[in-house]
Amino acid sequence: MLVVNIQKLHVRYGKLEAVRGIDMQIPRGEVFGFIGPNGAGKSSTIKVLATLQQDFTGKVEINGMDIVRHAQEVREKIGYVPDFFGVYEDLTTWEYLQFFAAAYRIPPGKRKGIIDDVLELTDLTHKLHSPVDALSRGMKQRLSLARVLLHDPDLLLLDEPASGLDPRARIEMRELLKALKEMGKTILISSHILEELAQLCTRIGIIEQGKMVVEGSVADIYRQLGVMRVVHVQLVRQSADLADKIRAVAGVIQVDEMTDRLAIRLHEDELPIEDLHDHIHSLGGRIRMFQPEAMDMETAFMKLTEGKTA
Amino acid sequence: MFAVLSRFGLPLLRKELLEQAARRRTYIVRVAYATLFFLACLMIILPEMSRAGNSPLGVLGIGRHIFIAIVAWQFAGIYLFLPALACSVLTIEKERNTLGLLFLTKLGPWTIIFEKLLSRLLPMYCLIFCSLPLLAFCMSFGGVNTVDVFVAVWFLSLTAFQICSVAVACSSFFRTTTAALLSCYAIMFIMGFGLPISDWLIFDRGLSTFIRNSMGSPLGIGANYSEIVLFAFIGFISFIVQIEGPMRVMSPWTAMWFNLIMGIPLVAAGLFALLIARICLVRRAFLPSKNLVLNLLRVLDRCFHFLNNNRVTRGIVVIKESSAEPYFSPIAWRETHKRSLGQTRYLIRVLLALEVPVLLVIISVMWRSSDAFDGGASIIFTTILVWLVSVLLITVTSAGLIAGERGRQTLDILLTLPLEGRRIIQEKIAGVQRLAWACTLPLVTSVLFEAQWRDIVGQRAWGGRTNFIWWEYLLTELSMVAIYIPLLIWLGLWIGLKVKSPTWATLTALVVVVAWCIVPLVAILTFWQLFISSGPSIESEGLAILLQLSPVFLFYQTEFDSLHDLSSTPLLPMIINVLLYGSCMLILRAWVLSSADQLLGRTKPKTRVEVSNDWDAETSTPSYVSQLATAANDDNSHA
Repeated sequence: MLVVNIQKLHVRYGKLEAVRGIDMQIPRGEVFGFIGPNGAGKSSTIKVLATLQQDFTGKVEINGMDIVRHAQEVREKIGYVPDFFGVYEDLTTWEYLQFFAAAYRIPPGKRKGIIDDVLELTDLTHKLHSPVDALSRGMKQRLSLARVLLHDPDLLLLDEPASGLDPRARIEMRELLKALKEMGKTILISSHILEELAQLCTRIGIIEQGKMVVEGSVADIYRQLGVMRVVHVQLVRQSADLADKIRAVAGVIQVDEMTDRLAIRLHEDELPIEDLHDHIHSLGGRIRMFQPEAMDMETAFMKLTEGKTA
Repeated sequence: MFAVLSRFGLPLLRKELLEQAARRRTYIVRVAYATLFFLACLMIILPEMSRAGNSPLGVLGIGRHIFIAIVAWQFAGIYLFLPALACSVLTIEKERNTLGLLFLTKLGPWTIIFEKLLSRLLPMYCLIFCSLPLLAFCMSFGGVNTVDVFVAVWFLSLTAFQICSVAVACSSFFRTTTAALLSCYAIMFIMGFGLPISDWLIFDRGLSTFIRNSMGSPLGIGANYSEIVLFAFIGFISFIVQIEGPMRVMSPWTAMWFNLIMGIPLVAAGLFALLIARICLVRRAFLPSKNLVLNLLRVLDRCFHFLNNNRVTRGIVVIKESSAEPYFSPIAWRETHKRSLGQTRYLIRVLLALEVPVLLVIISVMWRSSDAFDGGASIIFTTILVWLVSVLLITVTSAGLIAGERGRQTLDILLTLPLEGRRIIQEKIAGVQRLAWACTLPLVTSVLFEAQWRDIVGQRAWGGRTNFIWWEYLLTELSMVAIYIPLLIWLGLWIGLKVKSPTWATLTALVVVVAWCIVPLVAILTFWQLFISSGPSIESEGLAILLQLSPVFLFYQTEFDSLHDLSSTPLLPMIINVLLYGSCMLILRAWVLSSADQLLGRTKPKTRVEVSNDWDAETSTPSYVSQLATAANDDNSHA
């Protein structure tokens, strides 16, 4: 079943058309990464799904419910984390979560258990009585996630959740999102940190100038673009002869001889990585290290987009 | 002009003026100011002309009255508008985080202060000089000479400098424009009336004499030199003293020296304010976000706690603040339990801060006033003051309700909650409604005492008038309290919903309230005199009803015992007022609630959903830790 179904979405701000006919379907349990340059229309699309956009055209459904007809019901099914963290300087973490638990009409008797759960999940139990204002940015962002998990929403809308976080906080956030993915949550996440999206998302969509440029799994996009994979191979006795033999293998584009290893560029369509391993072995190479480079999302992103805004 | 500024190396002033020139708001403000000012002048000139009759000789000499009235309007414009224009001068840099960038340039602190000051003074001087053609027009009627015009321009300029400097100092001290603006008005009040009020409290003179003189003759100040010293920081009084007082019989040279001396307090106050601005500029450039009111109340908490822990009271707590968690209405809970002006104990302090001075004035009037006139004037003054404070508090708080959420970037989160828009708004105003009660009690106290005082004591002494009916006065005043305060709440809230920035929401709300009070009076009186009647009388019931379009009109008539000038039928003005403003309030309330989703900026549901409040209903209660553990176990088993 589709959790998100967007067809021909257009969003206008006066004369500016921020979103120009986007189509997007996200089935249950999928983690969809939304990538695009600044001003591409990511936040506008997410705001439509979060019922925060008044003027738009097109069909937008969440769990099969039209978001205009059933805005109120839709709000019960979503959890929205904006790209900033608004501070209620007068509340502690406990009061903050109590506030939202009451707003989501969670029965008072069950609130404590749920709040304890989400705090443990987000590793904020030790900050229970700290003022929200005093939390670090990373903690605030995790608290935001804790907030949206209170009512067990069907869909999490995360607008640049890792923006402005330091490396440690980013890693913590990524681990938390992985945990949510393992729980089977449907997540729509926009981010600029492309490598993280590549590791986390089951599917990604690249948007530019309000239009979806490409959509699919990371491998699909890679394949569509014809982007080469790089595999780093360290051999016991590296030789020019062996390097030449590898160059001759179908699918290998280029072999760079480094002092301690070979950097082999290949088309994954023609030569799967596993087969490369077998080929090297059959050519008499004794492999000490075999390391495919992580998918180069940045290259894909740069290739697909021109940095233009809507 | 910009080329000249560049040559003199005033980059900041150039940037400020360019920014102002690029803003549509600048032109709207200028046109509105000029229109209002010229309408007001027309309202002054037309009755004078009609009084003079058809004879050309009849108009000779009337220029003086018109001249003084025009200058008085200019002073009112400066006192009212200049703080609003100038208070954002440095706070806007703080709010945008650009003040630090200014410090990194070669501009010194004094340069920044002076260029910022000039950036607000120059537009104000432009507005002041708008009136020069009108002053020349007055001279043509006779009664005004060039020295009078010079004195007017001199004191207007000095007052503008003084007020602008205070605004810059407030802007340098505070983090937000709203705090700077409110403080600026408070400082202006203390600077202007601090000495006379102290004198009145200590020596039982000054204020009553001032009020008596003002009411006896609007220009009757200046007979006593000790009074002049008390009002030395009010430019308008200095101007009146110069025009109507001793300067009339002085030689030009002596008058000039006298003018210079009278200007010294204004300049000194301005320079002192600039010194404060300079001291605070760097020290208070990067202030963390703090709730000043809450902090002040917390300091008071600590003081009271310290005083309370003694052998006698043993830390007794009279009013215990409920520590309950939000049960059903979380937004209302936050507004009434967590916001500084929503909590019971803090509201009691606000109540006491307003009620105690009212009671002190009442006691003082009862014990010390030698005659009914003095007492009546003091209590009227107190009632007006309590009204002003209440209007200010309620307007600013209600305008900041939604705009504040937007400013803190918490509104989007609230809007994605499964709560109806109207319910969000109804819960948001819970705190302001409590504040309104805290403001209402001192108002009612003051009104009740005034009714009793004027009925029992005042009838004999109040200019021989006997038409004061205590119950009519009381009903009219109480009806105004009952309607104006909710109207202010909904008006402020509506403006807060429309205007995006909290600062501009507050300023707009204040400007709208002031404009609603002044514009109908000026426009209707001018229109009436131009097209319907040449006389200024308000005895016509039609005009009286029209003038009630200004909310202060009935208040003025009630306070100054002119209720029967409006209508011979008792309570008719009150009924009209109740109908007019009651309808306004109800319509505004209904409209805000019905279009709450749209005003809040969220998708409005086409089908209305009845929200179930049944806590026993089965709701999903996720157990994330167990889910996570299950997921981890699954992973392990796969591995």
